[in-house]
Amino acid sequence: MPAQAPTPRTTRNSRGLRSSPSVSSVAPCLGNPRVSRRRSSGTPTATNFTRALALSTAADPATPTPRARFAPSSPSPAQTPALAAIPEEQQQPTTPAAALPAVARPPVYPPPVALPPTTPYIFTPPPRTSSPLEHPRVTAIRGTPSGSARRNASPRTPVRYTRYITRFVDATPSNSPAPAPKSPGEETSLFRQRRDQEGEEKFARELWIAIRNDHYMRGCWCGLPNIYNSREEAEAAAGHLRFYVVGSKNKNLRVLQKKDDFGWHCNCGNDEYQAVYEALINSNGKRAAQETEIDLIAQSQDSESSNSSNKGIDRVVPAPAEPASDEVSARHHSMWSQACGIVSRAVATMGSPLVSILGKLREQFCGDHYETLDTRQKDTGSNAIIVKRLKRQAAVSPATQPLSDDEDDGFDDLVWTDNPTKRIGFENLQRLVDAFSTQYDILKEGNIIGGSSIADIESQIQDHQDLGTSIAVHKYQEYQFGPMLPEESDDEKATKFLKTWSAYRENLQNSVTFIMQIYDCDLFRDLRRKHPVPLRRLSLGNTIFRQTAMMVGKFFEFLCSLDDRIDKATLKALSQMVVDANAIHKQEMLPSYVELKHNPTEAMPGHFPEDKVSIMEDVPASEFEIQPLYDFRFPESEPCDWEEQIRPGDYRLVPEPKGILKPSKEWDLPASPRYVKTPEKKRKLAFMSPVSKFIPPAHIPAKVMTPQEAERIVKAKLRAEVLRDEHSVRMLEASRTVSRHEMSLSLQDKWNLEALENDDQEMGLTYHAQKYDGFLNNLQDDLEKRAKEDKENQKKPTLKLTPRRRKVQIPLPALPSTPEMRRRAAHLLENDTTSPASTPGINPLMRPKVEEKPPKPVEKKREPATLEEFFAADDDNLEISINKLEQLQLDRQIREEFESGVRREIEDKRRREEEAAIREKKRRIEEERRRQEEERRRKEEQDRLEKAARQKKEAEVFAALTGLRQPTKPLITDLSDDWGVKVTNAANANPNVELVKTLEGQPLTRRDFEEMLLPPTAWLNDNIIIGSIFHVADYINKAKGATDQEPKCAAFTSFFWNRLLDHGPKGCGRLLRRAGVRKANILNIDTILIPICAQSHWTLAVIRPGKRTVAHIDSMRAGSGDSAVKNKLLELVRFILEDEFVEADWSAVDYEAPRQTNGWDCGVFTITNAICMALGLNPKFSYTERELTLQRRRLAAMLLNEGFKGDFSLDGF
Amino acid sequence: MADNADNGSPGQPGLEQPQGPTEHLNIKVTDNNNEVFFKIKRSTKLEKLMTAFCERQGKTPASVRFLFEGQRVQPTDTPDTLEMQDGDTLEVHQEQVGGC
Repeated sequence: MPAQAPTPRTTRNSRGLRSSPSVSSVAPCLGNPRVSRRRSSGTPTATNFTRALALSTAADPATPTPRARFAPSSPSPAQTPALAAIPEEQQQPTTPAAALPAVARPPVYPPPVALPPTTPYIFTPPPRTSSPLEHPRVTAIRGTPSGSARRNASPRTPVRYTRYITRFVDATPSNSPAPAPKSPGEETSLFRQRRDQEGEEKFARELWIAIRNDHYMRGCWCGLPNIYNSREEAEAAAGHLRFYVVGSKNKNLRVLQKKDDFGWHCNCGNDEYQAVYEALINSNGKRAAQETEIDLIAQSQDSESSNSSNKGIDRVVPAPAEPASDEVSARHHSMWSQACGIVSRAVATMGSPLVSILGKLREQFCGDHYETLDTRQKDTGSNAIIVKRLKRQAAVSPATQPLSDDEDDGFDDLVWTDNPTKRIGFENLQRLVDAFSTQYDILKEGNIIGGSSIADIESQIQDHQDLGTSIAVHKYQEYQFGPMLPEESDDEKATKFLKTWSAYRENLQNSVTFIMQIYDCDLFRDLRRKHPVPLRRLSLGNTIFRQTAMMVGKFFEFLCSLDDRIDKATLKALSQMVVDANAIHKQEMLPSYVELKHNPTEAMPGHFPEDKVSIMEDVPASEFEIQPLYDFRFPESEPCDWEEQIRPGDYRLVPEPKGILKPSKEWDLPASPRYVKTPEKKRKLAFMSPVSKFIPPAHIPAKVMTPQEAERIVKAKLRAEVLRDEHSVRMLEASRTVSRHEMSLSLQDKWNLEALENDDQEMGLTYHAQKYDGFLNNLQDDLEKRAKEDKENQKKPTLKLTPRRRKVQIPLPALPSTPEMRRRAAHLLENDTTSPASTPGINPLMRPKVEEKPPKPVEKKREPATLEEFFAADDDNLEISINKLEQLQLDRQIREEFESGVRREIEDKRRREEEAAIREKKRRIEEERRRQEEERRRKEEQDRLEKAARQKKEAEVFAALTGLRQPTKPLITDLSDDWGVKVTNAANANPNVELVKTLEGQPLTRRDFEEMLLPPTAWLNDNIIIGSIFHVADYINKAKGATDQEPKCAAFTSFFWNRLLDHGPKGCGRLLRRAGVRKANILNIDTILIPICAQSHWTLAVIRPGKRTVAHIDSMRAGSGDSAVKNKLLELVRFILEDEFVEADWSAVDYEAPRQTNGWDCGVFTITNAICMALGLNPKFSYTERELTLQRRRLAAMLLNEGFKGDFSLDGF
Repeated sequence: MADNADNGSPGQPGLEQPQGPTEHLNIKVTDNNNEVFFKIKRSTKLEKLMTAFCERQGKTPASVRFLFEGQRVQPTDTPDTLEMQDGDTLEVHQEQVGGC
């Protein structure tokens, strides 16, 4: 026993599991020197300890404060007399008064052990709530050989961070400790008992539903247990649990258990899947932890089972779960598991087909199946020691007063306490001081021994030397310098020992001084008097004192690490002192100095508890550590890559924003805004979440199979080929699609809505899962156990196959699956898997087939009676039936081929006929088209001729009516090169130079030519119009030998029309006179030309007094004019002619002229029309719109030529 | 008066005054918005008046047309050639431009 417990951690580990029969309920105490010296390996008894405690408390009244015995300020040798004042015999073991516990002295070995109750160990795990988080993985682990050993391990392992595996808890109402296997191949007693208890029909049905629900809740995607048609079929099939149907009309479900069959009901519990899954996890780096986890658990379990003497019972059956422990187990789940459980349970209950997707996603993302739980809180009642401390405040330097006042951190609720020893306890302090001083004396006298190990020390200890102190010093040495190494020389060892010795002594001295000073009432009273209110920042002593306090704190911490040798009260006192020392070191308020203000209203009835921030917090002592001060003074700045840190109040040069204040460039407005249709927004459906489209990244490599996996696949394939049941096929698929890429997310029909709804109506989902899960676990454990035993018993040569590194799609042959065939096949398979001859090629059922068809479950439902009859005939000859089968298949194939050939022939014939018909039709259409074309052409020709004739006739008629004729030669001809140059020069002339004068006397400048005439789209101005029209009139008059006052052709300016409109004919006398139009001669005038400019549009009004007509030629209206204009003209004529006006003679006519289609040529139209009218030509046949760009240049040249003379003469038209 | 006559134009006014038609004319120039009165001699070229009006109104001479009773006034015209009388009006019109 003393050799045990190498380190405190491991001792703690094993302590809870070790049983020591001698001590039943002994409180652990500090090492008792007397006892340890008396019996080297004895355990302190309760009486010893209580006596010691009683003595120490009895001594208290004599020494009201520790200070009475120690000089507080000087832990120097001057103090030692005080220590020495303790009578020597007090420390002798013989005197009971000397039983003052040497507090910090490491106690004897073995340390006393706190034991659980003496009842034999029965672990009550929390009942298995079938949490949906339970993963296939978990069940998979259950299948491993160590599964049963791990059963009770997880909550018991007192490792600080216990990994809690959720799956391994179950609740079985069965009280029988172990199912005793009766006959191999038959049901276990557990199974039988349960079945008998519940009634056969109900049991099978509910068990099946439980399994289904369990799969469903886990989102597992493997197949469900098969249901066979008859008991024979079920017996022939494989699997641990086999369900079958009885009764033809009212069908009932039965279940039978085959103990010798190791195939569990479900794929996800199979080893194949387990290995694949583990390999996947391993690639994520999570496997290692899991392995160590299992190893740890297995170890502890092994040690436990080795300790247990009862070899007959190798499995501990959990006691029935208490309903109350539900809450406990619920607390064990982390928040995540709870939330996830709620969500997936909700989804599951809703029966949504999302379940399987969820399961896959969970596999995809979560990966791990166990929850890591922090069990600190759980342990609070038993092991962990809780200390109180003030909440850590913001990291500030000690120079500045911390914390803003408006923030209520609860500090104001603190008041000074009455007594600084109140929190720790006076007697604890007293005991510590005594113990320290005792040890100090021992050290001072040198009554210790060093050694390489504790066992070494124990063996070499002599009577006058103190074992506990020696061990403590040894521990301290290990704590400071690490374990003593065998290769160290003796000198080094001695040096280390001496150093440790002096450091230990110094620490003892400092500790005593610390306690004397800090927990002294007088000192505290002074402090209270000085500061009426507790300070946030309390500086005690100078820097050296605070450093010493830190060292003392570390020493206390070391003492706390010897927790298995120290009783709990002392441990707690030490932990609290560590906190105090830490507070002193950090210049904070000591928790021992303050207490929470008593609120008198809290006790009153009706008090409403408010959610107050408490400054005090509970911290596990093991978590508390002394941290250096500078950690808080210079907190690490948070990493900030992208921007520099700017504190509020900092100023920073910001560059002036560029381009913001500039006016934006003004763009020319587009000539005409085009109407652009607003493009329609394409709306996308937004509910498609990225998760639903998730495709695993391609860089994750496809799995490379190990030989074991290949072997497993071959096995699964064989099973699928032979058994042809759904389960095996699914297993095969699962083993093939190990890589997640091929994992299709398509829904399987096993969770179709109908089944779910039925199920929901029948019962709650979790009910059966809870009810049967423990039972199933037990069954499976039995199975595993048997498998293990079998494996050990007969080390059969396993099937060795060459590993396949590539996944191969193996076509499944379509085989008739009848019960009888399957039974045979199952036998075949069993033989094959065990013999090395079972390669796929040799298997007679493994012929590659032409066509691959999914197995038809229809065949299952045939009447077994007829099938049995059928097979009874050739029951003995399997070969024959196989040959027959092949023959039948061949026949069917031939028949199908023949039928397809005939069908193809018929099809071909029909197609040929159709093609011929189409060709004929096309030919007819083509002919028709050609005929129509010819006809049309003939008609067109005729039309053209007719049109020409009609035009001619019309023109004649028109000419007869209006006196207009067709021109004998083209009116608008090309300019000569000379004139071209002149026109160009005019356009480039000096803008201020007068280029030419019109007849009116108006000078024309470059602007008139360059801007108002020559550009093809320029709008003409009045200068050009008037000038040209005056030239026309001038030419006519000159040609006909008329004078200005007796003209043959009179022209007005464009301002004439405006004046006529404004002032009436009476206001135009001056202009009429000037134009030479009078009552006397108007009827002799051939043509009067009046250009009109109205609304930016040039038109021409023409009066032909010889013909007694007035007209208005608007190029936009192809010659016809405005009747208002014509009326005005008639009015003018009437005014001129006065009484000679004969109403009946005069008429308003419309001439035909080319139509203007653009937006700029109306001026040129007007002039050209004027020319035509003056010459008596029909404008319609004289020019076209396209010639008018040339006409512009001709007009310019004519203006420069000052009239229609020379090259521009109008003679000959 | 005598002083004025002596100071202003000694001798000459006495000769000119009997010829009535040669004296100054008051001509009103209007463009519907503004009216400007000019006092010019009968023989003064109207170009002077037109330029003055354009400058006063800030218009380009090429873009306006001066009409006297509907007749275009050329820069070389004088009140005499147009037979203008005192108080006659010159109308100022915009240049006529048309295309469509």
